Amino acid sequence: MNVHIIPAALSAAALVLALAVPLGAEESYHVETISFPPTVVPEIGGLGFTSEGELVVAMRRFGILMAKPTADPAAFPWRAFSSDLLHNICGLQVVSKRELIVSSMDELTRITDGDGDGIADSYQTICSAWGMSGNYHETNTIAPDGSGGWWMAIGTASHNGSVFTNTRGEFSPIGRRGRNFSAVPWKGWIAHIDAKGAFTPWAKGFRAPNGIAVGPDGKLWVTDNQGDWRGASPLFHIQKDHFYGHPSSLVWEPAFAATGQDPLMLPVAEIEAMRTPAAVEFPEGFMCNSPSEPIFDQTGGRFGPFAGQMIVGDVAGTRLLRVMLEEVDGVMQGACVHFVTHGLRAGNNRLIFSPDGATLFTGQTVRGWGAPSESLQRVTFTGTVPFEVKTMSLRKDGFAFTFTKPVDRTAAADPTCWKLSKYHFGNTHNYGSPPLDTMALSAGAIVVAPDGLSATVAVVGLETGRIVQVDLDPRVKSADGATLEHPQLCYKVNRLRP
Amino acid sequence: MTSLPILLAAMTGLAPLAAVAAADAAPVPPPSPGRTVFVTYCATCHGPEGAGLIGPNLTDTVFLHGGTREDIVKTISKGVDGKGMPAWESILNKEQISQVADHAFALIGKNLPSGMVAAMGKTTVTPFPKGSAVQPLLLRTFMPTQGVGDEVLPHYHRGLAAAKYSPEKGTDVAGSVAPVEGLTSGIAVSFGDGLAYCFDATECRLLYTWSGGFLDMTKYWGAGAGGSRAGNDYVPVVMGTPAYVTHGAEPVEIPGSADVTPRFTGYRKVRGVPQLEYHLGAVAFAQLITPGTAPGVAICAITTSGAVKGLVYHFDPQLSAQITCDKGRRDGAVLTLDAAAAAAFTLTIVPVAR
Repeated sequence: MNVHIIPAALSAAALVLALAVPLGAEESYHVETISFPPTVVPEIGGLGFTSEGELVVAMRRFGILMAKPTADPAAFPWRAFSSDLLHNICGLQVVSKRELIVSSMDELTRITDGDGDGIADSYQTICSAWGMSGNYHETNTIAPDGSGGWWMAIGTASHNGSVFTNTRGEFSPIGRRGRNFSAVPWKGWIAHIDAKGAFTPWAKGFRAPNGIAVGPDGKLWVTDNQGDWRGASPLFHIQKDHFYGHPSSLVWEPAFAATGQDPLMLPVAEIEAMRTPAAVEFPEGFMCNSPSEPIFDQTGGRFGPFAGQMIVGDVAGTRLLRVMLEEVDGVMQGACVHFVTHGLRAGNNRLIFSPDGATLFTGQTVRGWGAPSESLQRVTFTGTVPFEVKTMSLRKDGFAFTFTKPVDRTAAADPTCWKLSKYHFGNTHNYGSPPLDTMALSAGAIVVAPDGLSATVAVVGLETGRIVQVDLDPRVKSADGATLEHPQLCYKVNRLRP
Repeated sequence: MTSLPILLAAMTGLAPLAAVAAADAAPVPPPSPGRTVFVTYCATCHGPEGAGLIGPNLTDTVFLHGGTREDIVKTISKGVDGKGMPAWESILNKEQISQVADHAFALIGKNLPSGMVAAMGKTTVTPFPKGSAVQPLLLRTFMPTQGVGDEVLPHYHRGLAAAKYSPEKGTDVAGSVAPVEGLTSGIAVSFGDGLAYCFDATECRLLYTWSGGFLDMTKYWGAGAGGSRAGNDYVPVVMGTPAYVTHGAEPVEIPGSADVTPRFTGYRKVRGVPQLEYHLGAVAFAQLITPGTAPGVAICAITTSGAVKGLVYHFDPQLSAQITCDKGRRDGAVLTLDAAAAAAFTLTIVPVAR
């Protein structure tokens, strides 16, 4: 995660602002804060649902609670499935109400309630094949692979913490160096763990990959956090054996280690040549400061008009984001945009849809990265469709946009309503990067569909390796006068349409 | 009215553990069905013994919503509007409600001290978690070494000093960065003031025990309700009086096999008490550690399978006087267990003489 402090005053101000729904707008997504017994600090590391409809909440400082959600957010009938404090629960898979899979700093654990009394009685180690240096930052997260096994994203350590005299796993003095570092095996890697617990390193080059998900089509996605060798927070499409840019993990790559090279001293151009670029990048500050768990909206429209798209939480921001993905010339890329920006607290770490699909729960923890924000909130689609850009897609000569409601055709056809620019981020030892080589782009010919639900915008000067930022003017309203709620989009161009 | 700070301080790990003390006493009968429902659903607010936490004390004779069994069934079923008591009839079936009403009815008049007060300091909301004999607390965390030497930790690797790297410059600079004392794989268990222990999941070995407190987690969790980093080493601080600190190489010898490689496989709860499970070589161990009657005494009930030729313990001579066994042949610091004895035996570890 990003080492970013959210000033308490700023968070409070943001919260006050956020509580207000845009003036004159019918609320499309209703945000509520769920109450816990005051005996619980809900530092949430995992969320899930049982097939019976009980919400499962796994926490760092309590254990695991379950409750069937009630209409009243203050009346969830919480029961404790486990009150053992595992080592910083980071991920959760609900197999059944009597069997959970939990990843924590030190192991992947199968927790079962053998006698069916509602209380866990067995905690069996599935896998603990990665090292532990003693650094607080070495978190991980999991996604079921669909075949009884798991994908695991394993984060690096931070120079803001130490390592211990006794490490689990081989210690690498070379890997110990760096802003974020990989002193023990498989920090900065994505791994596969099969149903029997066999661990296979899968892809490398990660910094703080705090989100992992398998899409409906089986593609594996990982979010990572901006910092050293991460100019902006990325979303990666994971492919076996690929390298994703953070060099520290290379100390555990046998072929690289055999060269005797110091990964931190590799020329930037060499790292750039090796790396698989992000499918989407989230610029820091205005877009997202710390992306976490991605989740695909597979609710078939019960959560609003964005079915099939990815939603991502922001740990360091009071917001959720939406991601529109597409394959261009065999490579995944796409755009990000704000999704829910009112009523939320920061710390949006883990996401889960309710069984009826109408509600998205966001489990929050900031855990030392800023002002405390340990909480659970839920976001429910009210049935009122918001006015938003629904999709953004690359064309040979520019972009195609669709809207959730008919757009005012006059404003949408006005090129001065489409502010466009392109830039990229540098990936170096420095923490993050300002936008580099920023250039304004001009909207050319604009064609708005007769029904107002789509538009194409010709853009000259598109190039690969650039983010195209689109800022729609406030004059672009819906035909019924609604303001565009989130008018700023960032599209990552990895390939141009052939 | 209870002030907010006291309320916050009173938060216990609401832990509906199977709520039966495990000690070196006779086996305790299993909990009643009503007790099981109570610890699962009700202890969150009313405390494991019904003495109240955020919900009222149920053991006194002050009845807020009626004190007959019928009243209790109604209160449980319908809940109490505006008081945070859910209508449990949507969650529990009639039989469960009847069972838990029996349990609650039987609590009346026990007059236990208010849980609000009894739970003070035993909370995971503060950085001072603590269990009790009735409700032990297990915490997997970084742990201090407490002087445990490298000879106890052969399956760890040694964290070494590394060249000092400047994140700002992106290069090494003069000097080096040394590791700090700590263990990555601790399983710490608190039985309250009587006993706490640290078992290590990498070495599969009881490393140390103490009494009179548990852990100060401030450096790892932050102060108060947490959220802020409090230091740089994240190692909890042991609170209380040391009772036993192991040293020396692995004491277990498996006759006929040189392989005592440890492999931790997990733990089970036996009436709320963790039973640690691991292999040393080909032998499977299950170890249930409970407090004795005196502070700092640890009763380690061990069962094994696969020890076909028995087991031999070579205790460190300095520790030998602290450890007794109910079975086997003792010759100074060497304990020999034949196959039958090795299948189930109990080591008792008493605090170091002061």
